[in-house]
This record gives sequence, structure tokens and C-alpha cells, in this order.
Amino acid sequence: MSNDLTQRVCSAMLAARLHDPVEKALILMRTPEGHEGGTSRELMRELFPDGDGPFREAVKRADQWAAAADRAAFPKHEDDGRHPSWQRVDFHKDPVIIHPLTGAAFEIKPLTDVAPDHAKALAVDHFRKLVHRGDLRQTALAFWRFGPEIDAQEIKSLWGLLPADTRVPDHTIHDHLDFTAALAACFVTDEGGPALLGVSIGPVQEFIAASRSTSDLWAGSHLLSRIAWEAMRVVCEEIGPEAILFPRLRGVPQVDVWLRDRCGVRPELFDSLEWTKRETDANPLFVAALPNRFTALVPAARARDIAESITRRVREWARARSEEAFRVLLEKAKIPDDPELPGYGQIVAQLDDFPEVHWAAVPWSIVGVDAENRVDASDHRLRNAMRPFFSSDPPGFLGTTAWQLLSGGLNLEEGTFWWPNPGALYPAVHELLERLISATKSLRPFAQIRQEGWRCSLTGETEWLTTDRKQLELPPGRRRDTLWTRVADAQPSWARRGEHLGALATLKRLWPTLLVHELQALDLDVQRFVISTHAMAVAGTLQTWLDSKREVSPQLVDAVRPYEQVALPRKLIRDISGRRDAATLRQLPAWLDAQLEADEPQRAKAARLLNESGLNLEAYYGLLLMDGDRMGAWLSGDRELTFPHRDSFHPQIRAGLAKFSGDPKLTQYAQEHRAATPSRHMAISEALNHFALDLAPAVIEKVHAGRILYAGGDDVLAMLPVRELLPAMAGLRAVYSGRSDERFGIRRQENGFVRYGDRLMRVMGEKATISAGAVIAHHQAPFGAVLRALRAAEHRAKTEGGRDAFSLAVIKRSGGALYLTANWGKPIVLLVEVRDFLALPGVSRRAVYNSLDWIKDLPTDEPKLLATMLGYQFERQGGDRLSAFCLAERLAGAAFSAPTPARSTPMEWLRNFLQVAEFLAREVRTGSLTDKTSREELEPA
Amino acid sequence: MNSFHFIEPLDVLYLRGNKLFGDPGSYGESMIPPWPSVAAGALRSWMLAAEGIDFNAFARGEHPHPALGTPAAPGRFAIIAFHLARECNGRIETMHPPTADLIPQLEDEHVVARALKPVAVTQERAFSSSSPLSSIPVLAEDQRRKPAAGYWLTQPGYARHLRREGIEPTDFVSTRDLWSIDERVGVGLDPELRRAEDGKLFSTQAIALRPGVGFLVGVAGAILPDRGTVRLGGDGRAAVVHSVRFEPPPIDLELIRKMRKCRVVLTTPGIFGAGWRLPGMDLDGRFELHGVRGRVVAAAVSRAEVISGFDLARWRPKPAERVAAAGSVYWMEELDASPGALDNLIQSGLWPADGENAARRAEGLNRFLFAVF
Repeated sequence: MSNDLTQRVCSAMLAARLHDPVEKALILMRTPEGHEGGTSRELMRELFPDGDGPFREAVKRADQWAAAADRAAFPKHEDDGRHPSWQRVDFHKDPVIIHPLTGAAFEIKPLTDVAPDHAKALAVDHFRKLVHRGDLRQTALAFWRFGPEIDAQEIKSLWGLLPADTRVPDHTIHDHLDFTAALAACFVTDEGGPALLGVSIGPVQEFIAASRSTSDLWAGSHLLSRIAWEAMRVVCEEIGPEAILFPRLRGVPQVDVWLRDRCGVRPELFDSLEWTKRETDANPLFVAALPNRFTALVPAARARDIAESITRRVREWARARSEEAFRVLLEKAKIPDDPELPGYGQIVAQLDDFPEVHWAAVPWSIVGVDAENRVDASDHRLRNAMRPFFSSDPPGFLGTTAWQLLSGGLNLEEGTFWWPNPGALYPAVHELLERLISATKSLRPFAQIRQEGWRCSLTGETEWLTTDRKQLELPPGRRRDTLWTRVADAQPSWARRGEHLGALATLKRLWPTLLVHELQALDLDVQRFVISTHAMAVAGTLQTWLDSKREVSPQLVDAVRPYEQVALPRKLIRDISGRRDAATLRQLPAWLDAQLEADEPQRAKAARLLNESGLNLEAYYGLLLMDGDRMGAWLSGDRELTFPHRDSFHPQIRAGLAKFSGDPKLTQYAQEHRAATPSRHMAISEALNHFALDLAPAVIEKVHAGRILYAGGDDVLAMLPVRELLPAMAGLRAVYSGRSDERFGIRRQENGFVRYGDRLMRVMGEKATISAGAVIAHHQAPFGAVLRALRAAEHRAKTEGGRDAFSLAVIKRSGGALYLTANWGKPIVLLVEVRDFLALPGVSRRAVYNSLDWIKDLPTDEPKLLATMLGYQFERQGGDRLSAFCLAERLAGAAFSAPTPARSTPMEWLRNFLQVAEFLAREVRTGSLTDKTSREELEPA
Repeated sequence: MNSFHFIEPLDVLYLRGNKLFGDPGSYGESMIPPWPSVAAGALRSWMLAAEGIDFNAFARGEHPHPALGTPAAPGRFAIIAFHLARECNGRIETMHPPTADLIPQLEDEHVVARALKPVAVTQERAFSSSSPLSSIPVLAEDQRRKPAAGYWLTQPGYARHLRREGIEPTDFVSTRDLWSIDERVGVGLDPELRRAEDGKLFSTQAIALRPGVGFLVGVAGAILPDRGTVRLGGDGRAAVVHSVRFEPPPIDLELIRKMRKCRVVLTTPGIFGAGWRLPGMDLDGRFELHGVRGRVVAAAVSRAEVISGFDLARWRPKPAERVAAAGSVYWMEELDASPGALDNLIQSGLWPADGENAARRAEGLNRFLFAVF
């Protein structure tokens, strides 16, 4: 894009951002000059002293389209004047905001204390601080990034959620300004109007799954997220971050780094943000926050160029990073770098078409308009384009009752609706784009590449990177002096003995190192620590032991002193900090590792030392994979996940509709559910960002002694001590939907609104569910196998559990596995209660072993018989009669209502349930927990 | 002269593809259907053994076989068809994974199938995409649903799909009725000492085919014994093989010629010089191969698979190359060919010129069928 054009785009976007003041809802109808006289006029004068003539039209049209795209329309009565009283909502007296995903109306306390002049002064002051004198682009970027974040206490938490239209308060002013700015950028370039561009990057599952360790796993996911950012960066640099409609980029740490270090947005604006402070890998920059696909608004005539630039950019980026990784390996192996080394050629060949980039674009010009730029219902180009993708006609959104009513201008018996402009067809253009991308992915083009000799230890498909091609003919066991044998000697964390990796596997393995180098170059002194599966298992022991208030014996202190301190979960570090024996506890896992290799007498001595200090070692750890249910349906706005138009309106407007005396068309329209709007998409992305960046870390790492391996969007992969696995899973489930949980500092305000610290957040809401796969495995179990079991468990939760469920697999060291799939809520509470019952001092776990013998022979339609026999067995093995029979009755009820896979029975489910409870009840993993796990932790209100 | 043979395993099978395994904790996944090279290897070994030929001498190229040639210069022997199949009332019925243009979905616990159709990305439609072809395969549906996994097509269902006729729920068979997966534990061997190594336990998937389920193999260029036993897949598990009468699904080549358009459906993996593109296909989709001309307008090809194998003669992995998966579909318009030319191409497979990549040709890659557009 030429400099002149860039300048025009940038000016138009900034002007669009100023066309409505952010404080509009607070000053509307309270100032003589009207809301246009707010911040907007003052800043427009300062920033555009020559006026906004060149882009005024573009901004005006963008505003109209954005409003049409996001706002549910309501009619005007034939008696109404220009500003009828029933449509005049005094927001400061009756402030209501509506959640764009749940439809819940959140009534805020009246804002009458915030005088209009004060609101305006706060806003002007806030935005003036963001102005970058002499640079409109930096100013626009700062407005985009920090506009929604104000420091003024009286309005701080609500500022980011102020509505764009107080009558239809289901989208924020910031949503509206973002979309208006993105549209204005397209209109001002005069390049065929806007187009929706969808980009999808892959492969995802295969790429992440090729992992040998928790570090590989994190690296694969973070690397993909980073590649996605490199793709989105093309759009951000060409147009602006507003142009990315999904995911929402505001507040994503990687984007902040770009704003600060590449775009020159003033560094001090970022000083209070967590990513500039944390020196460990708890830094949010280590979170894989971006999904592998995005939707952008771009000038139609440039959609193909932009998409092709994205493809080039991400492939060049991946190749350059791989070459950098290869150079780092050469340096470590003390092999002189030489551009002629075969490794460089191998990287080019192996990464020729990595990553895959699929894209599609739909121009808005496909929507026919009349002379007044309103939708021309007689123009069938959009309908014709959509028809092949749908089985009914009119297809998709065009066939909805709402559009059928509105499309030609809706006349009521006593009033009219406005005639929609093309912005109102966002849902149709978007669904066409989604279908198109999906169809495009039916063909996954690839070039041919011939790989000779023995191959990459991780993938088995590509040659391993070498400095001498003849070495590729050496089978494993005969490779004595290769790049990789040298690296394995010098830096075992980069290559295990015998491992020889291809280009992609090398990039993944070295990515943690490359990222730390990259951040250090940006003056971010961040270190990365890998918590091993063994350390996580031991962390469970230490948490339990801390509760016992014991001290480490002096002999154990002496024994572990020579060993290194290892990385432990954040919460545990916090809990032991300040203790005299903190260093010993951090050295303990390394000492234990050494004991695994020791001879028998030495191991016996170690066991004695542990015993003397009361340390009862846990050898198992938990791995948890959670994934939001039905995300495709959420994005496409399936009927059951949306709400009627009527619920979008402020209560005053809803009441005012009574004027139309039950007009059947209006009633029909009001009951029709809303389609997917831009603000809906932004709200989903915002909610998922809150989940991944704030809420999931609060659950896993602040309250529980776990470690997030990745958290991006609706996905969380975390490692936890066994004793914390169940409450952490239940906690994540709760916060995903926005339920209150004081342990995590989360307070529900309304369906989908939560307070976290001093922030008011929109989360997914109570219709949103999430499923979890969990595995409990021995720390020495092969990680690849554990990961496979984890994915299988997650799949079972979604299929056998029917979603909104969890599936737990216990992989026993002695062989065999236990599987339990159940829905959230009562079953998980029951599981913990049975576990706690079995862990009681007087109760023998034989209650389970004995029951397993006869359960399988019981008839499958006799819950009462089952309950009686179980109760008898529980009582006989030491339980008191009342609790034994009570528990047994609930168990029988749960078994007969549990999700059972095909060809399975309630009895099989119960057998698994009891065995899992028994496994969890073993002393080493309960400790004093039985006193602490409350029902509320597992099934919050 | 082509002949068909039914291979029925007597044991579980290890059909591991080219993924490395054997490292501590590694996991060998099995593939169904396996590559046709599995059958090629088994039958060639059987032929050599039946004729008492020294394997090592054959591997060194010192003992050319009249049909098999030598490892470096293969003879006329070639696999021309390879399918999972079941024997039912003395008749062999082939079983087929749904092709890439057929999407099975569950509806009220029944499997229904919907077919993709190519839609032209025309000026009028105005949209654009990363597709390198002029049309994209589209599934028309109001509510998007995930495909149902774990179902295969029966031979009549497959034949109907080739003719572009409707598929019934009864045309699908659950994979549970064809095979199950057994997890097995193995021990890694020291490559030099050939003894078990400490701590080198690994897991692998074994395929247990249901009774009566096996593989149908078509062979050209060799006369095989009528009956015998072969070593099949990893670890050389036993299977019986016997000749069978089999008629491949009839294809009306005259109809296809008249319609001047068709689908090309890969029945075995396609190893092509230009990756996913058929041999003889240029960047615009123009196709010309052995007297058959046309224009590929759309394709449904999944992510590349990598095919390799182990060269026992040289004791090293075979070169790894990318393949278009069996079941890939290419839609071709402007077809210009006589029925004879179409039939010849089916018989020879999608190979650019005689003699090229003879080893892979003999292993049965690049086989396909024409189907109604």
C-alpha cells in the first residue's frame, strides 16, 4: 500500500474511532450540545485541524453499516416524532447492559453521581494521554488498545462495557468503534468495498501431538499460536488490529509487544501490564493465546494479495526460525556454521509448504443495493452464491423469518421498520465465508518431497537434520558423531540420547529457547522452567505434607543438599516461601530422581529418610485437557445458543413495544432469535481470552498447585497433583460458564457477567459447557502414551458423556487402566464422597474389592437390590450404617442414570467408578484432603 | 491375465505404516486399510518360497524371477487391486472406506451419506479462495454436522456411489463388525545383539479382523499358486490365501465418454511427482495421460500421507514420499477419450510413462476407477 493510502486509511480509522464518544451512554440527553459534542468533537478538532472532509463519507457509511450489523432493529410508530419519549433511555438513571451471548440484562446501580461534564472530562483526559503527537497511526493504535481501559475509579469497571446504543445495549461502544473503524478503512481505499477474509492455519492436532514431553507439548501449541499471530500481523500492519474481527486482539500480550516495539506506541502505557513484569514463564507471553484461524475485514480488491502475503509471511517465518534453531544446535555441537551444510537445504525442502494456509474471501459487493444504498431485495447474487452450500432456499440467514420480514422494509399496522443497509447482512456474508473455507479445505494441496535414509525420531517421516548426508544411512545405534549425538552430550534437554530430529521437530524442541532469546532481545528478562511429571507427582506429596505441619529431618536436609533446586508449581513455591526448609523441599525432586537410579540399599536408606520426615511419596500425577463444547455452533449462532430480538432491547424499549398492540409481524420478529453479529463474535473471543489468560491460571496455578501447559481460547491443557485434579476440573468448569467461586476470587453478577478483582468481565455464560479428559498416570509412564490416553478421554467425555462431561482414565503402573465417564455436578461430588468414605480410618477399601466380585453378576434392572447389597458391604467394612446405605443408594442411582457407551451396562460403569474412588482413596493421595474438599468446591452454586 | 486372491489372517496383524516405533514408550499405530505394498511383499515372498528361491540371492539381484524380476528391476508382477473384503456365502464382497466426496452422518442413529458437489468459483459468485482449482467441492446442508466416523461402504453401496446413485443406510457397515484393535506390548531389541533391551517396552496396535474378513488382492503379470499361507504385515503373522472369482464394479465407460466428464477415484494411495496433482495435470488443471484428456476442476484430497516401508534387501527404510490417500476424488470436465483409452488407463494405473517407479507400481500404488461426475 502506498504511503498516501496508508495515511488515508489510518486517518479514516482514527476519525471513525472518534465519530461517537466512548462516554456517549453517560452524557446522552444530559448535555445541550448532544453526545456528538463530547470527547469526539474536541479530539477531532485537535487531531484533524483541517477537518475530516476526505473521509467523512467513508466514516458515515461505516457507522451506518456497523450499526445495522450489530443492532436489533425496532420500529417507529406512526405517531412518533423525531425522538419519541418511549425510545429515550436515560442510561444514567436506568443503566442496563445486555450480555451478547446470554441475553441476560445486567442492571447496574444508577450512575447519577457521574455528572455529564465529569464523564466528558474523564474521557477527554483519558484519550489525550493516548495521543501521540504528530503520528496519527500510533494515536489510532493507542486509542484502539487503551481506549477501553480507564483509570478513573468511579467508572473504571464499567468503562469497557458501556453500550453503543442505550436502547439496544447488547454491544459495547468499543465493539461498535472497532467495527466502524475497520469498515471505514475499506470504504476510504475505494477498492471494491469491504470483504470478509477467513484464514485457517494447520496442521494443528498432528503438529501438537508429536510430543515427547510436556515441553514439546507446550512448544507445539505456543508455536502454532505464534504462527497465527504472524499471519494476523500482516492484516494488522496493512490495515489495523481492528480489521481482525475474530479473535479479538486487544489485550493479547503478543500484540502488545508488537504495538510497543514495532509500532512505537509509548512504552509507559504498558508499564502496569503483567507481561512486562513477570520474570518466569508464568508471564502471559508464554500463553498460547491465539487460535489457528481468524476472520478479518479487508478491502475486497486486496483480499487475495493480503491472503497470499499471509501465506508467504508465515512460511518465511517458520523457515527462518528453523534455520535459527539449526544454527543454535551447530553452536552447541561446536560445528562451524556454513550455508552449504545439508541441514539448510533439508529445512527448505521439509518446510516448503508448512504451515498449510487455507483462506477464502467474500466481498460485500455481492449484496445488491438500491440508489439509497439500502439492500435491494430483488438482487439475488448473494442468494445464488449461498444456494449451493445449503439444502434449503432461501439459504441460511436469508431464509430466516427475521430477514424475510425486514429485507424489503417492514411495514406494520401502525408503524414501520427502517430499511436495512448491507451491514445487516453480516450474518449471511459470514456464514457464506465459513462454508467456503470449509469447502476449500476439502483439498489440502501438497508438493512431492523424497526423503532418504533413516528418519526423524519424532515423526518418522522426514530426514533428520544433518551436517553430512552420508550419516542418514546409519541406523540407530551406529551413529557415533553426528550433530545430534553431540547435542545430546552437550544439552540433553534438546536431544535425548539417540534422538535425531527433522526440521519441524527441531523447531518445536528449540522453540522455548528461541522464544526466551527473542524476549531477552526486547529487554524482557524472562526465564522458562519446565516442571517434570515427577516434580508434579512430588508436588502433591509436598502439598499434603505441608498440611501436616511437620519439619524435614536434619538427615534428609543433609542428603538432598548436593542436589539442584527444581521447578515446582507456582502455588507450592508460594506456600513454602519463607520456610526454613524451602530450599530442601525444592531440592527434593532432584534427589528423588537420583534415588530411582540407585542400588537397593541406597533406595532403602532413602525410604527411611523420607519416612522419618513423614513424607509419603506420590508417584502419580494428573493431566487434564478441557475443551469448550459446540464452539462452531456458538460462532455460527445456532438458535438454541442465541436469544430473541426482544431480549436485546433495554427494558424500557421492550415495554414501549406495547404501543404496537400486538402487531403479529412485530411479535414474530421480536420472538425470532438473533443471528451471529460482529459483536457476538467479538464477545466470544473476549470471553475466551478472559478464560485463557485470567480465569484458568487463577484456578490451576493460584488456587491449585498445577501448571498450565497451554491455555488458548476454549482449550486448556494442565498438569496437576492427583489430589487436586478433581476440584481443579470442577473449578474450570464453573468459571468457564461464569459461576461464582470465592476461592478463585470470581463473583457472578448476572448470567455471563463476573467480577474478577476490580474488573467486570463478560464470560461465556451458563449455556456454555466444557468437557474434560483427565488422566492419572505414573510419572515414569511414557508421555506419548499418556497424551494419547488423554485425548481419548476427552473424546469419550464428548461422545459417551454427551458433552458437558468429564472422562477420567487411571493408567496403572502395574498394567491395566480404569475409565470413568460422567457428567459434571453430582457424579463428581459423589466420587469425592466415596473416595473420602473409603479413606476414613475405620473403613477398609476391601469394601470395593469385595463388591467388584458380585456387581457384575447382578441383574441390570434392579437398582434397589444393588443399593442394598452395596450398603451392606460398606457397613461391613467399617462404615457407619447411615452413611453406608445413604452412599450406596446414591451410587446405585448414579449408575443407572450415568452415560453408558454402547455395549456397556450400569454395572460396568459402577465397577469403574468404585475402582477409581478406591485408587484415589489411597492414603498417599488423600492426606488431610478429606477434611478440605467441600461439596461447594466441586459443584459451586 | 489378472487373478484375484483372498487373504484371510489366522492371527492378529501388525499394520504399522512407516511410523517409527520401538523406542521406550513409543506407540505403533496400525492402519486399515494397509498399503497395498503389504500384500505385494507377502505374495512375492510366498512365490519365492514356493519356488525354493534363496531370498538373500534374490535380494542381491543374483536370482532374477521371471515374473518378479529383481529388486532393482521389477518384472511384470503388479498388484492391481487391494481392498478389505469379507467372505459371505462363498462370495467375496469388498469393503470400502467412504471416499473423500462422501460424508457419512448420523441421523436418528442411522448413517446417511451426503455427497460433495463441485461448485464453480465464478465471477458472478465473486468469492475467492486458496483453492488452486476452478471449483470447490461443497456439501450442501443447512445445519453443519460432524462426519460420523467408523463406517465403511459395502460393495453395492460403493458401486452405487460410483454411479452417483443414492446411498442407503444399509450400505454402511460399522468397523466394529469388520475388525477390532488389540493393544499389545512389545520389547525393543538391541539392533546389534538382537536381544531385549532393558526398559524398552513399547505398545502397538494389533488388528484383529473378524472371522471371514480379510483382503482381496488383484494380481497381474504372474500366476500364483491356488492356495497357501503367507506372512502378512509386521512380524510376518500367518494368513491363508486362495484364488477367488471376483468381478470389479462395472463401470459404463461409454456413458462417461458421452457425458464428457467424470470423477477419478483413487482406490490405492497415489504417489505422484507433483504431490497431490495427478500425473499429466498442469497448473490450470489440464490433464493428458495415455490418450485421456480433460480438465480437473475440483478435487477432494486430504492432507498428505507419507509412504515408505522397509527395504529388507538393503536393510534400510525405503525412501519416504508423500501420497494422496486412497479414496481421493478428482472431478474432471472436458473429457476427451475413447472407452478403450479410458479402460487402458484403468488397467495401467496413473503412471506417467512405462517403467517409471517400477517398484511402487508393482506394489499396487496409483490404482483408480472412473466414476460418474
